Amino acid sequence: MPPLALLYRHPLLRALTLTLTCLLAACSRGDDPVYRDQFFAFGTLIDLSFYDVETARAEQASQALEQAFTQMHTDWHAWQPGALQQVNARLAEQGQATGDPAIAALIQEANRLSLLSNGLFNPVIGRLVALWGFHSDEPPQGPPPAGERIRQLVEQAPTSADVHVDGLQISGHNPAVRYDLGAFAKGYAIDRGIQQLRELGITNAIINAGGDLRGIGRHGERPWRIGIRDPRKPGVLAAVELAADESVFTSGDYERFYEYEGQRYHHIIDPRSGYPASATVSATVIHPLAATADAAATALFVAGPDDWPAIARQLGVGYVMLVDREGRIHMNPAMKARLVFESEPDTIVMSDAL
Amino acid sequence: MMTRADWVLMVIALCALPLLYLHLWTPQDAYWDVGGTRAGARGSAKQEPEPSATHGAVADSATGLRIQIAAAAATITPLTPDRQVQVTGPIGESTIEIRAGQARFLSSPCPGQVCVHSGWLREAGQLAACLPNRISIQLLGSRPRFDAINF
Repeated sequence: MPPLALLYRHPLLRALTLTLTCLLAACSRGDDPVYRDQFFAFGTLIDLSFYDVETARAEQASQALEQAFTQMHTDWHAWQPGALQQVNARLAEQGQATGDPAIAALIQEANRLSLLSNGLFNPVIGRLVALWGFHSDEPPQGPPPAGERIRQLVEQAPTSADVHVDGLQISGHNPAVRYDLGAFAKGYAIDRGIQQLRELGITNAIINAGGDLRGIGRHGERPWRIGIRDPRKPGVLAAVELAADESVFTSGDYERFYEYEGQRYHHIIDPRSGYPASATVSATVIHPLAATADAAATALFVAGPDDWPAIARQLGVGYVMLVDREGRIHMNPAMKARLVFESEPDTIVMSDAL
Repeated sequence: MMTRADWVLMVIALCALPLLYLHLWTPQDAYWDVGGTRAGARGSAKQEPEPSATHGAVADSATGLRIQIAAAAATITPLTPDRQVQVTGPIGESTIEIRAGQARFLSSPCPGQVCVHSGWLREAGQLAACLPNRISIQLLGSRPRFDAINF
């Protein structure tokens, strides 16, 4: 008799074998084969996940990314010395500047997205952002700036249409232009980081920069799974599975804000009024490119519950969810088809297809 | 030949199968909370004084705590016993509390106290960070429900 058959001879052995098999199957799930690493850059925590990459190669890639992100952060910083600040200074003094290739491309792409968003994502209102106190690593204490001062800056109306980029030559036609790429640089950096990972042969990964992320490839047999946090209470609002290469970005009024005399002032300034955009609590965008998703999340936040679909169409964004001040959830049908809500939302306002 | 006892045992074993499956394979994190992941958040999130009552379920998924200080190699520390861990970053000493399989920043020398206000990390994959002191903590586990959290 073959030895294995012995296991099936005795009823007790038979039952035991069955149970053991189940247990082994259950245990064999083992550890999550995801390499995780974190570093600090862009004023936030960058969290890396690589699926099924040997540790040595993963560590090497992680270090390369940290180096690249640190450099980009310095170059593109809105209020500390760096390449972008030099461009700002030259534009203010002489109306023109020579950017290094990285800066010129960055500015050009920011300008392009700004125009597509009807200026709702406005990368040149650095003076307004500074006036509100958000050019600081720590949240400002208030009080909010004087209305007169805000009005002055809004009347100067700097827009990206005031800046012309030709190769490395950047020329400006409005002395009030100050680049602040806070709503864009992180996304652009993530895109560069993903490109760098691919060059290093890493094809299944997530780069998550303080909650805004891009994923490529998959988590083995399944897609990457992302939880979108509820903007107002602890926990996840909805889950989404990523296509092979997608970014998920959210702009929220809870990210950087201060409260003064019971009023919340957050960092997403409506360039038309000069005040924090007040109709939206959070705007979430899914798009292949992180840079586009980053700018779009800000633009749609500012656009608000009524105007976001038109802006989303212009930006070519296919998946949007917006939470308004009353807690209503606005989205397009394609977005709804992808999201799995933790609990059914009270009110969903569905837009036409984008 | 199958005896009657064989059949009874077979039935018992088969009944045990789905139970085993439920016990070992289902994610046990129905009460997930991501309050602790506001790494980039500013402001006044409410601080929770006690670990969640659902910690029994969470202890199944989180298996350790990863602590990273600035650019140094991360250390991984077990979630038992309950204790406080002192870690020193660039601006001073932060205290991390580990209790009932959960972890949080208990105190920090940073001005904003965002890390302390993040509250408890409850489930594998969750992380909290102190940007000024360049410390991040993350619960590790084999089956995180989400690969990343967007906010």
